[in-house]
Amino acid sequence: MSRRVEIKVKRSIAYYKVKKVLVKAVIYGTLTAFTLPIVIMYAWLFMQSVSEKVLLGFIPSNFTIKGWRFLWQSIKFGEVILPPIWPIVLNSLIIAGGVTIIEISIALLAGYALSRLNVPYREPLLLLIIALHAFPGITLLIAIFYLLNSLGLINTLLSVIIAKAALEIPMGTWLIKGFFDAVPWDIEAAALVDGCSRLKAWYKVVLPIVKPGIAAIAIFAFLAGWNEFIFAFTFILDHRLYPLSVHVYQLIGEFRYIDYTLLAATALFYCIPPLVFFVITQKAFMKVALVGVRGA
Amino acid sequence: MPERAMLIGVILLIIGLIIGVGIGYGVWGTVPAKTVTTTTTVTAAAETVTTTVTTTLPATTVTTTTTTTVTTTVPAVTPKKAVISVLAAGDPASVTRKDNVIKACKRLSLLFKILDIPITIEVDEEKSEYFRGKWPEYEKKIWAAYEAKELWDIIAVGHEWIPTLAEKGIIIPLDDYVKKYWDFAFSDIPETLWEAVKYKGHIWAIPQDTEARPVYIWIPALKALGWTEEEIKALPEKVKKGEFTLDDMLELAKKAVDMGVVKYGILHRPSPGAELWQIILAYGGRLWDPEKGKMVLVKSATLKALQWFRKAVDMGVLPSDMTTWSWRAIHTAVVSGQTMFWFGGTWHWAEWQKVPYHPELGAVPEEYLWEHFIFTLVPPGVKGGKPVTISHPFVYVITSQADDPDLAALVLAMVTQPEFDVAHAVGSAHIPVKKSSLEHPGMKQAKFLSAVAYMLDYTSFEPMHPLWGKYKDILFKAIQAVELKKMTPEEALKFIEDSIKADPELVKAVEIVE
Amino acid sequence: MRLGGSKTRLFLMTSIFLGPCILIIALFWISPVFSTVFLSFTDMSLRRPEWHFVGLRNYEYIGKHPFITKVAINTAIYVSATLAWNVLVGLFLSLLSFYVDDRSSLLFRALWLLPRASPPVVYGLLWLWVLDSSEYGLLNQLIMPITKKPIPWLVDYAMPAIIIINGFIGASFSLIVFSSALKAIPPDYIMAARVDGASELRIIKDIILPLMKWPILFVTAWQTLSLLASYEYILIVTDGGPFYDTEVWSLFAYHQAFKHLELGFGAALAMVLVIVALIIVLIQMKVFKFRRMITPVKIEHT
Repeated sequence: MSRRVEIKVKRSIAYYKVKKVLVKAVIYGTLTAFTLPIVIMYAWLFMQSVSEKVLLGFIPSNFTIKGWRFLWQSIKFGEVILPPIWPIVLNSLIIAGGVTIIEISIALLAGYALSRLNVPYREPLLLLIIALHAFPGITLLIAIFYLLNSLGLINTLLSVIIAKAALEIPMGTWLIKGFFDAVPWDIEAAALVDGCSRLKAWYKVVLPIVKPGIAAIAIFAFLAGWNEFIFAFTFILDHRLYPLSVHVYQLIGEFRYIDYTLLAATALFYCIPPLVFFVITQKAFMKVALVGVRGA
Repeated sequence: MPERAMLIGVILLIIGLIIGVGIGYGVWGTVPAKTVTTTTTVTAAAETVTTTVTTTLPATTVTTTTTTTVTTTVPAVTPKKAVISVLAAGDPASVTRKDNVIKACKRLSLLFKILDIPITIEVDEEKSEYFRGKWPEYEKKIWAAYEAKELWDIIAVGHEWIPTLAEKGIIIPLDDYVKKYWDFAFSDIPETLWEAVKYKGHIWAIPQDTEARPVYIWIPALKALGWTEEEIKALPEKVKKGEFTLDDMLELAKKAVDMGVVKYGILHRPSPGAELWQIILAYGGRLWDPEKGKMVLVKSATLKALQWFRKAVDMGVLPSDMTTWSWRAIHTAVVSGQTMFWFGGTWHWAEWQKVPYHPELGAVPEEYLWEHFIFTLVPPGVKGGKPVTISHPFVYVITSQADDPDLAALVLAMVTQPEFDVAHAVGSAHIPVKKSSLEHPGMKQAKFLSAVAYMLDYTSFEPMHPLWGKYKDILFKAIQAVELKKMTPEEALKFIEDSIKADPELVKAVEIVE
Repeated sequence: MRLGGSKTRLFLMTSIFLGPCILIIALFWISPVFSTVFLSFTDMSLRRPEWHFVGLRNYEYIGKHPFITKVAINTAIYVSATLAWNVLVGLFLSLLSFYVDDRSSLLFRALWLLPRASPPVVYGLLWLWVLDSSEYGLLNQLIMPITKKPIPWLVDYAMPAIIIINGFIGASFSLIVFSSALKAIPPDYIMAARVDGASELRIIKDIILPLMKWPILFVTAWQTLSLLASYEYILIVTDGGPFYDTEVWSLFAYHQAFKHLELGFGAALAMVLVIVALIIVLIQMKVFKFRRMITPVKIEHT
């Protein structure tokens, strides 16, 4: 190659390399820029819960544990004594647990049926589940309130549990159905040939294979119950039955401007289970999302 | 395997939470006592005691006669038992609304035990609650509890809820009880307060407290504008005589803001409430026609009021987004002197002493308040007019789902004693309902309450109509629209009129006058 | 084929397996529609002891309500703007993360999922702090060196605020769908195009985007319905905003039913929403041919 061409080629390679780096930088930069607000917001939550004042959003100053005192003592505001936190946590636990149990039981059964049995109404049912998403939540809320009121269930934790579970079940069923679909028919057939009843085959052979799916909807259900706000806010009137979501909501009105530290600490405390689940399940969740969404 | 790790993590977390709850319960610090059982079951004993016992009261005269006139056992009291739960709400300093009832129950129980009277009054302290949310949520709580048959026995509410509660059958009329305990508890409650609890010819509640809604003025700002001590002290008188008007207030506020002495000229409440309707009254309007039993819309006065709000915003003395402020922000601003005028309530005086609103001083001592604030009635709209204020008495009602209304009524009679009346008044800077409370030594210390007592002579009440809630929401939206400059005062007035006419019930309940 | 049993056996098993699910759906999804229709013709209210049938009076009142047009316009603006954000930002971000190494891509996606995974109350609190009107709000802290005065974001910019707040939540959903769709594109297509010398932008335009048609349409359809029905975040952050500025239809219905305790009127408003939603669903089904909705991420070979 002549000298000239060599230089030209070298230059264009260099140019190409620089361009590549530049483009990569822009891409990373843009992604970071878009994600920055989220990072800052959550960083603030952590920082504010342990510092008196927070500078410029997330630089803590005056480290203190005072914000976390609600864990072991009552908070006084004027003459009002705020309720202790632990019964409230228990309420949230009950709601979350209840939703999980109900949803798992019902979704597992239904998901399997939709996946396996040659049920004559399979397709329309599937369509129904998707169409259900079209129903505005507020419509359901008013009617469910009326229904629960007639049953005398308003102002109980059960009302929130049932309502939330009922609304989560279609999605959960669809999700677990995807998992059931992925189980090869041969395994089941083999079990049936070996003399198992349909039920036994399902229980002993198929279920263990879809364990990741069960775990997935269990987590979703638990989080759905833990995070639930509207139902609790609307159905529960007795202050002893408030879950954490309603408690934090009321704190926002009371403690903003006065004690951000306490507010941030309580909010962060409330956020712990979702955050923990979130971190633990990152990889698994991604996989699940891909598998589940693939559909029939 | 990631799934296994996930599962383990999940289980660990749940176990952790459950352990946390258990520990929390165990090592909890100052937890308010759980279900209190102040059970005093007393069996009627045969005694040679002549007791003039009525079914309930400590008007008992216990005479022990040493004569040989033996009276056989007369348990003239039928054994009774009730569990009382009370619901109350309000500002952070008024928890006495709930606590007084509880104390009254315990006091009665003790007395019955001493007198061997077989009546038991238990207090359900767990169910009893001092609600901290907003008024619409409080309302919903009560209505929904009624539907779920889980009402409290005694509820403290603002008096204007009586019509709706009565219509819905949530509360019971108290005429007989009032008559019964008149001499013991109710004779020295002023006639005007009884007006606030009457509806359709019956008495539905016992007055619990009242207040006035004065205008607080920041003294350092007046001083910075060149006012002397005498002039400052004379201001309330000028307002009384009608020499200081709402427009004078705007002028003064503007001067102060322009000089940089204060950040805001005027602040008012961010939600519907009597302080706002006072402006309508100040311009000669009214909201209620007690003869006809109808609410009123006085177009001219309401328009002038809306114009005043708009003028205040245009002049830069009233923040345009006033209606979106949080109470915390407002109190902090008022207490730290960022505003010249504050349309508040007498109970704020106590609230500022109990809640740490001031950024440096926290909860401020009373001397601080005397040094920095002077308070007046709401000035009239025009010179020579009458100053106004609206009182919003709080009342106790007995619900239709109460265990034992008779015992509940007794408790209310007990709570309407000077001791409780004064404790609440002084603790929360509300005005006591009993005239005899003013003689109580505790009141003599209450300089502030004595200083504002005169305002009761200039006060009026909100309408006693079941649909008042709807009407005042409309009024509030109009004020909000005008301040946010979404509507002109004229448009806002038309909005009020249209909204009333569009609502088939409201249009029958409101009389529209020019 | 499926090894069944007798017909009755099959029927029994079906009922056991599907029964509870169908019961729940019937009770909590289907019957509410009928109850709502029923309620909308009454004047049932928690404030009054009795209720009566009032025919179409609630619907008339909807038409006459002084702010109904504002609410309708708010809803239209909110849904379309947030939808645009959700789809475009989701698409944009998924494309960007396509060109980034796997670990970073996973990290970004994880962070974007954070708002969705958090309790709505906490997420709302975070935004309340960011948009705080005083000088302590984050945005104000950043802006004040320039403007000197704090800006009341939730008063002046309430609608943009809720669009962005809901946008972050919605974009994470589209991000996931689009990312997995992108991963499903056979790499050979792209390799071949690169070898042929096409620029990256060309590749995106001519190969990737057309293959993404169905995911995009699916996300649009799904999110339109979600947004129409969403009000939780709005309730927590602005509760209708200063003076109806952010009052969207579903929130309006909620306020009527549970703040003013007018169940009948609230039900009527909810019915209108249901009808609108059904119309949208029908349109979507026609346009997308409903079978496709069942397999949302299948990449069609055009």
